[in-house]
Amino acid sequence: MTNAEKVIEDVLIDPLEKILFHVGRGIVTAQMELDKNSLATQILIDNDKDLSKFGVQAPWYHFAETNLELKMALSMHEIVEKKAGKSINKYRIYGAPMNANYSNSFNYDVAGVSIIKAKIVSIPPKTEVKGT
Amino acid sequence: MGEEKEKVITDLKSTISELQNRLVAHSSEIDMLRQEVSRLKTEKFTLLKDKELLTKENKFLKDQITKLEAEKKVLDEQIQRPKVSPENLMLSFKDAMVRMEAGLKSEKMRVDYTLKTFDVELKANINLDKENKLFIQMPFLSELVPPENLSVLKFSISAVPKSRVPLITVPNVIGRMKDSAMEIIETAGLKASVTEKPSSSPKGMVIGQDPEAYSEVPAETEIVLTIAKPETVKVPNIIGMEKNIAIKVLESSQLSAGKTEERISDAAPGIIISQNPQPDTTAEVGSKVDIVISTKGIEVPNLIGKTEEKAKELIKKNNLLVGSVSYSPSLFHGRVLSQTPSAGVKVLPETSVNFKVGKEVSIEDLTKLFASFPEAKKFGIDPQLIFYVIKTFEINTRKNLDEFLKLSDKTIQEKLKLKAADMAIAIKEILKKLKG
Repeated sequence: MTNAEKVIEDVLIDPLEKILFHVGRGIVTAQMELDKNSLATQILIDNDKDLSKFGVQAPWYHFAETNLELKMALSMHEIVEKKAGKSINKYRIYGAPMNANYSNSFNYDVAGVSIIKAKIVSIPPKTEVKGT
Repeated sequence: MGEEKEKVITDLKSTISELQNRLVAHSSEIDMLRQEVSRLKTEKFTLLKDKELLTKENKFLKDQITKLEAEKKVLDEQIQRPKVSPENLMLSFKDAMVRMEAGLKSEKMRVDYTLKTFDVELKANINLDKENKLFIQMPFLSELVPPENLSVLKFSISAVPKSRVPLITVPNVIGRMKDSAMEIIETAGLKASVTEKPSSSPKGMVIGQDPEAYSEVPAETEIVLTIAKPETVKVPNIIGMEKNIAIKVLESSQLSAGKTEERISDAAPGIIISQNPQPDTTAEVGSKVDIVISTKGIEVPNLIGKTEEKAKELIKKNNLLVGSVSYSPSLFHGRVLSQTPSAGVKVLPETSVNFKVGKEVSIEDLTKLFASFPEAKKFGIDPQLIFYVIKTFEINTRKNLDEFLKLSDKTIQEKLKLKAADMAIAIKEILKKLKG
């Protein structure tokens, strides 16, 4: 492994769960920003007697459905996890984001990348994830 | 003067003639050298052509080396990649999804979000390990892998409403023996049923299960275990073949030769005349086929009348074994009285031949004989008389005995000065019994 490749591995890649956590967190943050905006609008309405007199309400938005398509170079690394003083060998998936620059600099063939598609919906009934 | 001139002219003519001859010789040498030059030129041209071809071949081989080195590098890296079982891969994705769900949750949130579907299109290497278990390898991020070398794994995970029925995780029993696997399934609160499939795995080993391991099912769900049963093959017909050829034929059918028996037969010696299992039946892979090989057999020699030593010698000479030798009181002591198997019977080499040898008749033997022969007492025949008869008539061979038995009772009575002719009859009977 050349130095440049080592740098790529150290800097660009992250565990898949960390990437997905931040993707999820992004939606939550976006929702909170929408709510903040609606709240600000509502405050404005409440402060305006005319508007509140006519029963105007601020619109509240949410992302009914979010479709994600993540193109990533996925790799597998063995990690040692310590749990209750015991070492457990575990596999963790690491992902490196694909972009044009990465592809050009490292001759990474785009046809070789993996794709993760996720659909996130709002207000669902209580569910659990289950393998199919 | 005139003479001198003529001499000079003659000398000059002779010189000219000599020079002409040398010229002719040189011309022919020049011709030969020209031909040699032409041949060498042709040779040089051929060598140049060869050099050109070898240069091309050298370049081709160098290219091949470069290509193979690149392939070796890819393979070396492939070997170093972590190997992951499908279960571990799924667990890793599950961990990632759980974290994603955690990212979607927030106490301050007005709206809840959840992951509904999660589709993965994974580019990876799929391979089998030594135990025929599937494993997955993903290339390192920095690794340059031709994408066509990678398999595409597509799977979809979706959220389903939580079942109210408590689910049981199906245990993994592949590789276990049937009884142990069934016990594990039943202990887990599930039912096990069995189906068999021919396989090269050990007999009784679980080689498949449905539903597969780690899936979640309600209690009492039937788990169908696929148990390995030996593969069967059609038994080839080896009758009429020589043993070494038959062994090769059996091996090519994944069978082996079992017990080998020799049987006397009219067929050519060394040829297989019978086999078990029979041709065209089915047998388990690796099972044995017993064979019977034809042999000519040895004719048992006639030992009757021979001395014990001579009999033993004859037996050994005929590639047979000396069996049990018993002794019986007889007129023909020291001679073989009977034998088993009988003379002329065909037997396998090294078969044991038992025989009975006559031993000298004693007074005790005669006393015993007389006990079961009331006529002796009736006619007042005692052992001494019998010994006297044997001695007088030299009854120590069959021939002599036969001759004695042919004698009329009257003759015997006269020769032995017996009181009654009936005594001769009794003596004959006793001697018959002393044949052995």
